[in-house]
Formats: sequence, structure tokens, C-alpha cells
Amino acid sequence: MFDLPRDLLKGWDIAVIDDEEDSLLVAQVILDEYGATTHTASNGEEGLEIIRRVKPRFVISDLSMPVLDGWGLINKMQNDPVLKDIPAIALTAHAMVGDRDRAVAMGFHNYLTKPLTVETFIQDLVNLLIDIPELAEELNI
Amino acid sequence: MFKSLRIRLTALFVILTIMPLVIMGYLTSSTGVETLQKEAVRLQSQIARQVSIRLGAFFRERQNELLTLTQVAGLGSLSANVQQGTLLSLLSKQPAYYRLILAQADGLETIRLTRGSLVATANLSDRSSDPLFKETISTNITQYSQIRFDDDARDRLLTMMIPIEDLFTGQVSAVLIADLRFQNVEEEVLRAFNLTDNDEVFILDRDNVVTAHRNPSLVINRTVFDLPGVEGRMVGLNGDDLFLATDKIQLGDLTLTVVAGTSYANATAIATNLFQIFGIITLVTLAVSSIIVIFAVSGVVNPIVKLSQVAQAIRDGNLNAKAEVSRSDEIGKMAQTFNSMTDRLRQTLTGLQSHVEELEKARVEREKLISDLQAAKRLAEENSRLKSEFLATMSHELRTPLNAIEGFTGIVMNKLGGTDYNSKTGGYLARIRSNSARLLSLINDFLDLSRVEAGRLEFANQPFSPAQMVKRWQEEIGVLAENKGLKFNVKLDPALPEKMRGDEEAISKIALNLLGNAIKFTEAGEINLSLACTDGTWNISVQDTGIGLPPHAREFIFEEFRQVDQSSRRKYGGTGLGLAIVQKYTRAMGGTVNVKSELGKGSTFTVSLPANSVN
Repeated sequence: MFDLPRDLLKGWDIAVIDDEEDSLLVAQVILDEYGATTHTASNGEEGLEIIRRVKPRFVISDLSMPVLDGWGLINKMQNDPVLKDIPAIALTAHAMVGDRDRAVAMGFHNYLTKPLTVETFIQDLVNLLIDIPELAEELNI
Repeated sequence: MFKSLRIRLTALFVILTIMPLVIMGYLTSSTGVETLQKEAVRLQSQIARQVSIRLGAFFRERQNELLTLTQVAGLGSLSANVQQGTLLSLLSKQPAYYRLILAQADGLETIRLTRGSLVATANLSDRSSDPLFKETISTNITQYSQIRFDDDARDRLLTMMIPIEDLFTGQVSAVLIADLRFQNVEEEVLRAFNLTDNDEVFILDRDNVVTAHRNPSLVINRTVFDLPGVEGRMVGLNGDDLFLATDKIQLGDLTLTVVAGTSYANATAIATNLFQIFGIITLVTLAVSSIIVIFAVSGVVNPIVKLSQVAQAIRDGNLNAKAEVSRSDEIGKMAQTFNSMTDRLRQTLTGLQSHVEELEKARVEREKLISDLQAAKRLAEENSRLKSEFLATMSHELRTPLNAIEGFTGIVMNKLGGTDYNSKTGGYLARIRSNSARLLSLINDFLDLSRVEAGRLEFANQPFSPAQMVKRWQEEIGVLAENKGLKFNVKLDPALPEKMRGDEEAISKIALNLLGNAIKFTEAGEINLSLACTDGTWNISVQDTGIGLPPHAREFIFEEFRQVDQSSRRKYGGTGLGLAIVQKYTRAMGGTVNVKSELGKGSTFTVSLPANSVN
């Protein structure tokens, strides 16, 4: 991780949505460390509001949440012409094997497995972002 | 109609009873009729014969009477007065004479005495042209005329001419002519016979004309009776049914036929009576025998009918129906047998019923047992599910703070977010992190197990590269092996397909658990991994040169939280869930786990899994 430049995500707005506050904070610290501006929300409904407001480069969302879960969120994003082109990455629980395939099928770009490990999180994220052409170009590698 | 046993038997017995009577009656009657017929004909023949004899005798008597007068008394030579007196006394003596005439040879009548008009000399006529008279003169033999009806006499008359011979010349000098009333003749002759209304006797002349009959109209009408050639039964003058017999009399030129007859009905009356008596006897016998037979047949048939009614009742389900056993004969025995058969049937049915009831009871019990078992099973499943859910929730709840610990420890250790620490703090942080990692690993294992047990483990079926998969294992395990100074050999089947279908992560979990164990329990030597795919089966084999397993340990090493012993747990650490996960995953995927081990020399775990090729 330390091979990656600290301005990797400089100037990027990123939305992270999770009902676990600690998890949000860890993600935020790491992402901010690489220059991003991280906007957090604790459920899908709040997340949607943020996404609409800041139009983030991409979204990282947990699947299991109160009020509006990750499935509801991706559904609403897919049906919104403005939001549907914003890449979304699912956060799936450790052993929810079925959720991963389903997440991709429902419209998530890809998935990351919880828990987020400081040493691997940013590397895994970059591996996913490289697959998204419009983002890959703008990564400050 | 004859389908009924009752009617058949009755008819048979009645016919058997009546038949001899009918035959006997018929034979007797017909024989009687025949005999009576013969007898009647014989009798009539006799009557005819006797009548003709008497008739002939009567005429000969008259002839002799007249001959006596002419030859003995010498009527021709007497004076006219004496002649007249003699003839008159004869006329009064014999009522058969209607008229007595004395005529001379030249034909002139000299005396003529007619009954009811006794003037002897009145109405004298000439006989010279009378053929019979001439015949008498010429033959000098008594002549008989044919019978004729005379209006004055109102009767049939028969004329008898007696020649009177001159004693000197030998010539016929005169002729005595007697007209005989046939009525009287008839009465005279028939008086001797007791003829009934059923009998009749009549006389025919040579032309078969009735000359004497008790019905005068037949005579007056000159009725002709065609005389049959034979005697016997025939139709009489009045159209009656008769037995007839005949006889003939010859008086000079006069031929008479006597016919005697008796009515058929009368003659055969006895036979007819006999027939009637037989008829009555037959009818009475028929009636009596019918009654007897009907009773007798009923005695046989009624029990059979009753028995069949009982059989019907039994057929309709009334097994308590009993045949009446009031007789000791074959039918009684049959009824007895029938009853005992019914008893047996009833017993059998009762037995069957109780069997059925027992079976039903057993079935109900069994169903209750099954439903109890099912309820118990549902309860157990529910319990198991609740347990799994509880474990999953607990694991999740435990994992969340640990993730936070891990995350923030990581942040601090990596001095992210403006954090910093000195070297001593770094050591403690590393220990916090290592422990939280162990705890997390433990909880993850819990989660895996609880998923398997809840039956909620779903396996992906996606294409993946076996070679890539093994490469990742090498990366992960290689470091650990190196740290312990162990050699890690990987042997891949050259025939391994480039792509396979399946759950890469699940397979990896199995393999990594085995490999992790191998490293954990091996202090020196090597770890050998081999991966082959033959006949649609994955064979993942992990061999180590570790401490090995005591034989008894193989029975429990796959159970959760089990290690060979407590010292081993302390010495090697670990949760004891690894092999349990291996086995449960393998089984859930339809595979098997085998273990070969020698204490102190090492172990070999082989997992066989069904493999799906991409195609």
C-alpha cells in the first residue's frame, strides 16, 4: 500500500455507505489518506441524498442496512438516469458467497469483502477501479 | 314355468299317478265298447232271425189254416151259406185277416167278406185279369202277393191266394183269397219281443222299401232303406247311430228282409258309463294325488326355498341368519351343515374384523408415532435452525467490533489519519492485532460452520482456473511454510483442465484448512500438495511429515473443537474447527474426506469432490 502515491485519489468525492460507524470511519481514514473527500452515510436513503448532492466518482455501499439496504440503493440508482452511470462497489460479508454474484447481477460494478483491512483495502480498491475506464484514467498512479 | 323345482316335481308325480289310470281307463273302455259292439250286433242278428222265423211261422200258420179250410173242410164243395159262415168265423177269429174272398176259377168272386163291411156278396169283382190269381190257377200253388198299401184298410195288405182243387178233376176250381193286415202281423210277431225305445225292428220288401215300421209315416211314404252289405254299426232310418242286423224270409215270390237295430249309445252305455266312472276316478285321483304331491313336494322344496332365503340373507350381509333344522333327513343335515358353515364364516369374519381393527389400531399408532417423530424432527430442525441463526447473529455481532479493532489498529500501526506511536507501542499494537485476527478467524470459522449446519450454505458454480487457484494457495501457504523452515511441494496433474466450474472459494477453504493444519502440526520436513482431476472427481491430497495421529483420534478429529488432546491444543493452538469445516464443506458438496496417518511420521488427508468441467 505504501507503494501507492498519497495523492492517488486527490480531489475525488467518494460516497461510503454503511450502518457501522466504525467501519465507515476506517474507510474514511484510509480514503482520505489517499487524498479523497469521503462522504459517509449510515443507510441507503441518506446515501442516495449524498450521491445526488455531491455526485461522487464512485460509491462503496454495504448491503445489509436499515431503512434502505444496498439492494434498494442500487435499484434506485439504476433507475435514475443521472445516478446510473456512477460506479458502485458492494461491501459483502465474509461468507455471503451468494451475495457476490447477485450484487454484480443487480448492477454493482464489483464487490469488496468485509472486513476492510488497512493493508489490503486500498490495493483491492485500486484493482477494481482499474477496470473502470473513466476512473482508471484519472487515478494518479 | 318348469324352471321351478316345485312345479317340475309336482307335474312329474301327478303325471306318474294319473298315467296308469288314464291308460287303464282307456283300454278298459275301448275293449268294453268293442265287446259290447260285437254283442249288440249278435243280439240284433238273433232278433232279426227270430223275427223272420216268427214272421214266416205266422204266414205258414195262416196258410195252413186256410189250407185246412180248403182241403180238409172241403170249402169248395160246401154250400154258399156254409162257405160264407166258415169264412166269417175265420175273419172274426183271426184279426190279421182284413178280407177273405172266394173266387171261382173263371175269376168271378162269389163271396167277399171285408172286415167292417160284412155283406158277403157286395162289391164282387172279377179276378180273371189278376196276374197272381192266374198264377195260382196255373200253378195250383199258394201264392203271396207283394205288400201294398190299401186305402180302405188304411194298412198294408198282403194277399195270400190258396188254390182249391176239384177232387175229381184235380183242376183248380176256386181260389181262396186272404188279404192280411200287416199291422196285425207285425203286432203278432213283435209282441214276443220286449223292444225298448232304443231298439227297432222293421221289414223291407224286395225293393228295400220299408213295409213295416213302428213309425207309419215311413211306410206310407214308401221310404227306401239302402241295406248295407254287412251287419254292424251304421246310420239308421232316422239318422240314428245304430247297430243293425238283417235276416231274410222267402214266402213264395215274396222276399222280405227283417232289419233289427239298437242304438249305439244304448248298446255301449255300459262302456260309456265305465269310461265316465274311470274319468271320475281319474279326476278324483288327480285332485287327491295333486294335493298329496303338493304337500309332499312342499315338504321337500320349502326347506330348500327357506335355505336359499337364508343363504340370500347371508349374502346380503346378515350373518346371523340361521337355517331351520327341524328335520333329521338329508335336508335337515344340509341345513345343519349350512349353519355350521355360516358359523365358521362368521367366526372367520369376526377374526378378520378383529385383525383389521388391530391393524387399524397399529396403523393409527404408527401414524401417531410418525407424526410425533415428524413433530420432534421439526422441533429439532427448528432448534437447529434457531441455534444456527443465533450463532450467525452472534458471530456477526462479535465480528463487528473486532473489525473495528482490526481496522483502527491497522490505521494506527500504519500511522494513518495523523496517528503516531513509538516502537514499544508498535509491539503491543501488533499483539492486539494478532489476537484480534485470531478471534476474527475463530468467529469466521463459527460462521462457516453455522451456515453449513443451517443448510444455508450455497455453492457458486462459476468457471475458474485451477492453476490460478493453486497459485493463490502457494502464495498464502508458501510464506507460512517458509517461516517454519518447511518445504512446500505442489504437484499438479498435467491433465488438469484449464477451466473448471465450481466454487473456488469453498474449495480453497478446504484446501487452505488442510494446508494450515499440516504446517501447524509439522516441525520439520515437507508438505506435499497434489491436485488431480480424474473421472469427474477432484482429488486434493495434503501430505505432511508432522506428528501424525494416534489411531483412536481418527474417530473424532472431524468433530468441532476436538484436537488429539488438551496438551496438543496448548502446544499447537487453533480452534479445532478446521477439520470440521473441511468435512462439512466436503460433504455439503457431495465429496468425501480420507485420512491416512502414522503417529510420529505424518498424515495424509485426501479430499474427493465431484468436479464439473466447463462444458
